[in-house]
Amino acid sequence: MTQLAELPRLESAARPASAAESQSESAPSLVRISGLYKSYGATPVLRGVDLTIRTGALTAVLGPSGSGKTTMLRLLAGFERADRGQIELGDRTVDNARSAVPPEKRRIGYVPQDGALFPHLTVRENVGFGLPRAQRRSGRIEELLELTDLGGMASRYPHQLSGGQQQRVALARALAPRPDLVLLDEPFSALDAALRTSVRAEVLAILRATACTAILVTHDQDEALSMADRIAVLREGRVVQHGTARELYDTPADPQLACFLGEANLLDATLTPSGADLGPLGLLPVLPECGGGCAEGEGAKGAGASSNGAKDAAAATTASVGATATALIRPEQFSVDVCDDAADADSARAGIPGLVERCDYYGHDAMLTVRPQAERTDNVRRLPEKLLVRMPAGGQLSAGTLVKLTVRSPIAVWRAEDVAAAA
Amino acid sequence: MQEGALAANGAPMSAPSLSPAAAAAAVSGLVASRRARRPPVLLGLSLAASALVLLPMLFLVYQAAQAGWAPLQRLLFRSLTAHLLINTIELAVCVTVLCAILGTAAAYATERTDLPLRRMWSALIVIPLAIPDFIVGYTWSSLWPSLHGLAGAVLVMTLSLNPLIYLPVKAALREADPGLEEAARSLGLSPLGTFRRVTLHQIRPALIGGSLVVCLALLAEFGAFEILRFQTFTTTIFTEFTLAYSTSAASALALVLVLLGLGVLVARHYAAGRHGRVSRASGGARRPPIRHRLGLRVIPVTLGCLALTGLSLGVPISTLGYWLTRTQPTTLPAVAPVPTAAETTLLYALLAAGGAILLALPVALLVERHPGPLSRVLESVTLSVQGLPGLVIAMALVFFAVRYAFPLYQSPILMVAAYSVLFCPLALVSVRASLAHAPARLEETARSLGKRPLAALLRVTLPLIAPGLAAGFCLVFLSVVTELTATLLLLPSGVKTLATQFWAFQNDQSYAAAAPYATAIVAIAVVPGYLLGVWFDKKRGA
Repeated sequence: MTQLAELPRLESAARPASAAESQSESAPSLVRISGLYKSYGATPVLRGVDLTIRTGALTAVLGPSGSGKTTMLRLLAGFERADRGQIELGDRTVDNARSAVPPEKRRIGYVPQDGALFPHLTVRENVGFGLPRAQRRSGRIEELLELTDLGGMASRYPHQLSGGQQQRVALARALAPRPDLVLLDEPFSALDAALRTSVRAEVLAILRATACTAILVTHDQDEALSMADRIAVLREGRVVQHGTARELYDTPADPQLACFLGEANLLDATLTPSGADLGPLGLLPVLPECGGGCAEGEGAKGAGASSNGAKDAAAATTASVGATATALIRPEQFSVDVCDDAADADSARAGIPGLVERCDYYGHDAMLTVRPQAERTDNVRRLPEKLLVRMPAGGQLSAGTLVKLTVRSPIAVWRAEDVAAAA
Repeated sequence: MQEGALAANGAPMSAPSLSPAAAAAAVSGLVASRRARRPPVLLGLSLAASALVLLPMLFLVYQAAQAGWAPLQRLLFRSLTAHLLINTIELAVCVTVLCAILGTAAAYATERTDLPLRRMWSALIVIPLAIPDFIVGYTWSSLWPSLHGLAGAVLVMTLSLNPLIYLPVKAALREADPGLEEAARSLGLSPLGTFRRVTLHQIRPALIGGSLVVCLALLAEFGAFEILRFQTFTTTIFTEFTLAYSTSAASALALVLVLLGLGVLVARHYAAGRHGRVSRASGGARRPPIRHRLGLRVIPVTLGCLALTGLSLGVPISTLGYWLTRTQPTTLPAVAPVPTAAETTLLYALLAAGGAILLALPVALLVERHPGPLSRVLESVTLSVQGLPGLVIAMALVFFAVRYAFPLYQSPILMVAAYSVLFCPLALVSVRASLAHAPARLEETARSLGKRPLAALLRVTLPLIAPGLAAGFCLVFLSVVTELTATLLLLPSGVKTLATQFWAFQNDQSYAAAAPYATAIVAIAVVPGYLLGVWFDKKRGA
């Protein structure tokens, strides 16, 4: 794991959650979803979801639109009922496709997409809505208003609040009855980009302060990667992979997921006992978690899938020696050397030469599109037309610059047969 | 389940747009669906409401069928029917075309030009809608006794009904994307060319919808035509039923009328369905439309508005004022003085408005919260009453009471039931619109906060739809105050409302004696009607 620390992306993603992470491994499971099926009419939406969520963690359910993530949340909340499978909450079965516990008896807080504040009630009345009459004077409302920094807004109506304030009221309202679990359904998608980051941070702080178990549904990979302790990726009604942000980003279950989670270079490789042979890029070390077995079982076994993969890593690597594979190189895994001239590029220095085609400058970093100078190498077949390369801040190269690329950290690979089997 | 079967059997004949197969599927869905999470209470109430609404139709068909096919054929295929059909078509074409021209021109002037006093003109153009047609007919007839037949009917109905086109077209002009017109102008089209090739397409759904509502109103109107001595289906049916006591002739003609009405309703359904294709080119915040500078043309446009409002509002009001100042000997004794009649009218209107809302509420909730084939059928059934003239509903209820429930005959209960059924569609439309302000998400959120379904309904949904319920209540209330035909047939004997007492004097040519009753109706209906209109306008603008 240490060699990964130099990746800028993951450094920024490293957060005090690591304590919660390790704790979540041992914490009892709060939500157990098994074999969940749901269709609307003839359209299947969930096709066998298995997912276990442990107490105290913030889990993001990530997926493109239409992947069934909102449906899963509505089934958890009890607004819809399962066709097959079951949902357990703590030691209760709340839905087993034959009978279901109604939403008001589940003790699940729900924060809908646009907040859905009751427009005819003030902030205070909204927050106190779910409390029994006797508890409304207990100070619980004030406590939550303070926690969400809404003390001065108590007597305002929802239409007098900004979008971020409305989201905080919705969260305070959901937290007031001390639910066992809070569900957040794309709570930031209605906010504009500038506001989103700050509201996200506020919501995260509130959830941490209450030590609440929460499930966040989102289609925004950055949101999921930066906020959640664990991420479950949903695709076409199934869980593709469930793990920490780092596991998902570094060793995604399949190439499609790799591209969904961020920019990715996919290259052909051959597995050898000492790593993956990428031709001109050389022999590269393979991440132990991966070992050619990433795609194994599609992560559908739930939480434990990736850690099981790690144990078998060495065995898997030796077993698959000589197999063709697909390698994942993230843009920030390249290091870039600017060459003075063509002779320099040809020199014996390590790495492959390339020509910068364009440079998209983002301020904090820059993304280069590099065309490998493939005609100079003998193993042309294995290099793609273009490589995406992230350069740290300060660098900006004009198109036409000659560079030399090397890969500076272990990579993830999928054996070709696994990719084919998954597809 | 008896009610369910009733609704399913009745649906194909009351709403031709629905195939029997769809209705059957709806009923089987009710039984077989494993996900039957429609609350049974709501479902039961909705079925009961629809069944009550369908009742008049069923008895009408039953009554006509009892006469047998041969006599029915003899009654239908005679020159009288052809004569009535020709009258109806002539009237419908003339009035609709005139209303479309006047309404669109007025809407364009108030919505798209810089005409001074636009808000005032807009209010003055809409008010005549609240004055009952029979009162407009009475004022013109008393002013100009030789005005009758087709010309009189076209004049009076055009002046009364043009707001029915003005209102939707004005709304469409306001909602239309100004970007399209700007694009057309920048592509070299003249203002007139832009109107013809772009604006007219934008307002077409509103124009067609409004025209069909005008047709429905023409089919249902009775009082004005009776006064103007213009023979239509309603006047003939009324005469056959009350004077000739020929129930089979009346119900045979009523069936033709119902078919015409439902035909118009189906046409309107399809016209409204096409509305969705008018897309906005640009999303985001709405820009106000471009207003044309009138310049010197302001004089003819203002004169035009003055002429329209003068004829449609000035003439009826000033004629009423004239007759109020006159005393005219009348041989007819007043059964009820104005305050008594007003009290009766208000009482019935309040009860009926409550009844209509109660009928509409479960259907609206079912349609909005549990969409599916069954709720679509129930909604169509309820809305199909719009195609039934009040006369037909009243007649059917008389048949029903006389045959099956004689104690109800001429009882206040039957009267209130008739009003509730008749104006249920108005209430349904208001309640459904208001439910848009109370999305199901809010109720779901309330339930996740630990509230039972009923508590969620009472504490979240009801407060949010209350303004819409109030608006629907007011609409039905106003409609009952200005209703004449069904009231004449069903009002308990010895009791007089403002409308029936007015009618008695008017029939006797006692114009001065009728005037106070007409004034009272106008005062009760127009003032709240105007306020309601202003309120709706503000809400839409906000």
